[in-house]
Amino acid sequence: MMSNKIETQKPDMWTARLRQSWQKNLPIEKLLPDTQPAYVASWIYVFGVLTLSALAVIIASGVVLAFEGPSWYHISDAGRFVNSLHFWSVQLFFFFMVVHLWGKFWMAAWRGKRQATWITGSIAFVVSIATAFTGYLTQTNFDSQWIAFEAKDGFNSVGIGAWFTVTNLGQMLLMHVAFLPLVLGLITVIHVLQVRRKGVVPPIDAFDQTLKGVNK
Amino acid sequence: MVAPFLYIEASFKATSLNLVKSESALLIRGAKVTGFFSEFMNLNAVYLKANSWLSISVSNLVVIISMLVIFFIAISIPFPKDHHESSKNGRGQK
Ligand code: HEM
Repeated sequence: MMSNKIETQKPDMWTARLRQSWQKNLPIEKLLPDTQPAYVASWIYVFGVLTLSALAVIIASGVVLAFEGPSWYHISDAGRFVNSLHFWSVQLFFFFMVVHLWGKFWMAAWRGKRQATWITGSIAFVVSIATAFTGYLTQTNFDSQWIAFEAKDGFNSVGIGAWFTVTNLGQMLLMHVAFLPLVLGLITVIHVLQVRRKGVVPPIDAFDQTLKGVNK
Repeated sequence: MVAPFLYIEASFKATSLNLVKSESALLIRGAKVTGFFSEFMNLNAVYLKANSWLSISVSNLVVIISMLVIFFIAISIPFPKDHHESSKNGRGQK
């Protein structure tokens, strides 16, 4: 028999637990702040957002390429323009990401329990390389053939050639347009949410106060 | 000529432009890209080699050096000041 009682709260339900930890760790004021500490006014802090912007252009142009297909992007002027936009935003993405990484490394930005930010950043870096690599493999020209056959030997020599068949264009294309962007997108979202959650790391000489919880 | 320590290797350089022309004609079918940049982008890479322990293409080296330059510019030049600085002390004005 069903009870007529209205259940008020079950703290052991996963929805309730998720809500509570979300409210505790990432309230809306932290998620969408309108001020930042004074030390953030430096060009080096801009490179995370530049990386993010380049990624947005990559995804937008990639979606157009996927909809129109190679018979458009290898042949028509407009198609080759979007193809180039996709390619060059990848170059900028890596450029910005490396400067971002150096900046965070030299300010030891993992301080104050920010290790998850650093780790998700590192994973984003590795996944980006895999995504760019599969992108080069899907050019369907002499370059991509050359890269695939060189990489095949590399992958075989480290014993993972049976998992990633780099000469299989279908597999590489699907990895490039579906699986890897999804993983990269997810990791990037987690990375940026971690930054919002912890707040921007203070300069090294201001760190003592942070440890005491001033800038948690 | 091979200098003992650092030398530049540009294989097939003489034939690269001919190769590029036939390749692009083959791949792009009529809608051929011409001009300095496309010819330049299609040249074979020039490699710097130091004995056997270092081999890097000039283009990669240029990218790495420009990343370093941008990095040092980013940490050294001042960030533009906020125009509303005076209202920052919390009177609620824009
Ligand atoms: C998909 C590539 C990446 C994107 C889109 C991205 C984006 C961002 C953004 C928007 C920020 C906040 C603004 C800033 O401080 O610059 C940030 C912070 C940070 N990033 Fe990245 N990032 C990426 C890759 C990396 C990599 C490769 C690393 C290092 C391994 C890294 C480490 C960090 C750290 C430690 C912070 C936090 C700094 C703090 O808490 O103040 N990120 N990232």
